[in-house]
Amino acid sequence: MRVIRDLGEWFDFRLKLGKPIREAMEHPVPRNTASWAYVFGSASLTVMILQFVTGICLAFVYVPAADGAWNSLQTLNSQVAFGWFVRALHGWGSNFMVALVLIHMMQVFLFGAFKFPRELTWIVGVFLLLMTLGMAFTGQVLRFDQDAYWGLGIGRMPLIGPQLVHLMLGGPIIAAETLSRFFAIHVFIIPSMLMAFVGVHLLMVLKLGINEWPVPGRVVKRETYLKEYHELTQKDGVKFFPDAFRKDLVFSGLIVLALVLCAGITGPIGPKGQPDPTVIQAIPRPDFFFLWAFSALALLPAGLETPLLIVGPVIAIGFLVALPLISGTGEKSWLRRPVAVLTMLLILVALVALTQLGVNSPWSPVMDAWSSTPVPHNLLEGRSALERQGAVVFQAMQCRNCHSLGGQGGQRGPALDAVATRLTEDQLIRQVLQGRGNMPAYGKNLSPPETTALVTFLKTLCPPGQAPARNASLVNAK
Amino acid sequence: MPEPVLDREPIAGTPPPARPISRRNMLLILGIGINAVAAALFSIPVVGYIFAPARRKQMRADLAWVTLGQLAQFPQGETRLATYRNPLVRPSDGETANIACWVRHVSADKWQVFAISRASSCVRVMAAPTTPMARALPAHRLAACFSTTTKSRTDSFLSKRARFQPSLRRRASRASKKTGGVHACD
Repeated sequence: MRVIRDLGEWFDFRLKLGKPIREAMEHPVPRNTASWAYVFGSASLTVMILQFVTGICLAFVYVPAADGAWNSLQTLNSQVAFGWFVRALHGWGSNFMVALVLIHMMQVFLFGAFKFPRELTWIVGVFLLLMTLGMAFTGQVLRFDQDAYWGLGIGRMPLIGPQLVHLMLGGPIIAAETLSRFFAIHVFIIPSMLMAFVGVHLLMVLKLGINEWPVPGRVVKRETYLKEYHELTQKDGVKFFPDAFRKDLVFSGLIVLALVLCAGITGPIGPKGQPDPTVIQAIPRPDFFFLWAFSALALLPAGLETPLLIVGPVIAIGFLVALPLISGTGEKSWLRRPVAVLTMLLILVALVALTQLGVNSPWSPVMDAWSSTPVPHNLLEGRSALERQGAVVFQAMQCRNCHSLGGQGGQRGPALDAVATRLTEDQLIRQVLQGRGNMPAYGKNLSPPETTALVTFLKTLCPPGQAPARNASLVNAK
Repeated sequence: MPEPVLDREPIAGTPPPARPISRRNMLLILGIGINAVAAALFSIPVVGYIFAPARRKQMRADLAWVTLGQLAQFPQGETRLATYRNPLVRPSDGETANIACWVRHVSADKWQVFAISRASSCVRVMAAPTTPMARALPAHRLAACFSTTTKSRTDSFLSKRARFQPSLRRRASRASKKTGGVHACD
């Protein structure tokens, strides 16, 4: 022990780091911040460090080439000792990090920690969240499987669309340069920015102090806050280490245990099938943190895709960055900020609901439903020849690929078992001929007799006991 | 009247009364314990992963026979250049898996093979007809035992031929029948 101490003193005499580190570790923090609510930031940092470790390990074997990436992951999974486990740790670490950063951000928002004088700490934190999501997305691309290939699809972008595609993909198509580009972003660019921003974030946490537990009525004023905070830490403060550090230590340990457990039980994430566009059986799906966006883009009308992709992120990021500048003073307690709490809950519910929809994602057309699934008997019994002819048209036009009947068929469009209760004859004709939303127009593909037969059949899809849809204008006229 | 019992110095020779562990200290001890377990569970496989290529079992598995060519290509008394593909090749290894070697046909049943490579692999290449196990090969073909290890490792491997020989012979025989000029063993 004496040798170690002497060695430490030898280094410290030259580096002069011991005192500032000791001061940083023992800086006073408000007593009530030694709480379980304050452990998510340190846990995020812990997982980030582990991600660096496992990421470096994976880089020993991973081949960032379009013709070798997928194979190298298979090698890691099945041939390299513990390769599967390191991959699993890295994949689950990504999930854990996104979740922890989001929870940390919600806690900071609820506790009003973005207010004066911690505005810049919050803004840096917003960029850290974006970088974490960027790491998650680029990491998914590095798997270079079917999910990665189809996940790289870029929506329509006005004016700069082609240039943007070339910039993102390194060329006109998803190929070797795309992977090299994303590898560089994932391994060099974002991690270096992440380290720099985390450093600034931690520096500000140390210099400005940990946000106190919000108390209703204790209002933040620029003129008095710093003095009040200083008094609080002097009168009712504890040392960060070891007093406030204990719970961080326990929670981080539990998170690492949970990470190891998840990795050990579920194994590595992917890769799915090879990134071969001719394999049409692919069911591409992003990792869980982007499932909400996947759902939103799939379920929204086509016209809203571009605004959501382009305008949505700009507004969301702009709002998050501007938040401390707009609301930098005033009440911190969530008990006095009902709009903030409700907004956060609304966003949370929307994200969870969209994610749940994304998990099931039954919206892709079932391309063989028209040929493999007959029209249910009960929908044909007692029907006229024209109505039955309509059922034939219904099958021949492959409507079943997107619309289900009797619970069978695609779910890209609504089920049609009771379509006659929702749409009148005129509306059915218009829908079939002109289409709407995600449904294409069939006006050019159907002859007038076929349209008539199809609509006649659709009008019979009205369950017993339910009234068919009526034209309101005609009802009023009578 | 008895005197009140005050805090007294412990009697010499008796242990001091145990101090109760506070909740905070308990949490610190718990945190250290959890982190120690978590660190072990995390780091042992990771360290295993990093050092996997150097494991003896892995290195033994790297022994392999390779093809050098037909016997007629190597006239007696001459030294010829031959090339072969590293048998430990992976799809992404590219041209780096190509290896050249000098094959010296010293006498009727004596051969020497010198591989030219920067890699630690193929440090030792044994011409098949020089070893007892290689005599199992058809006489008109030349094979070499490829090793990723040092001379001593290869020699050690060969010294254990009594154990390995049967399987090596079978593999060599199968491979030579299949390709008309080869090899075996890994």
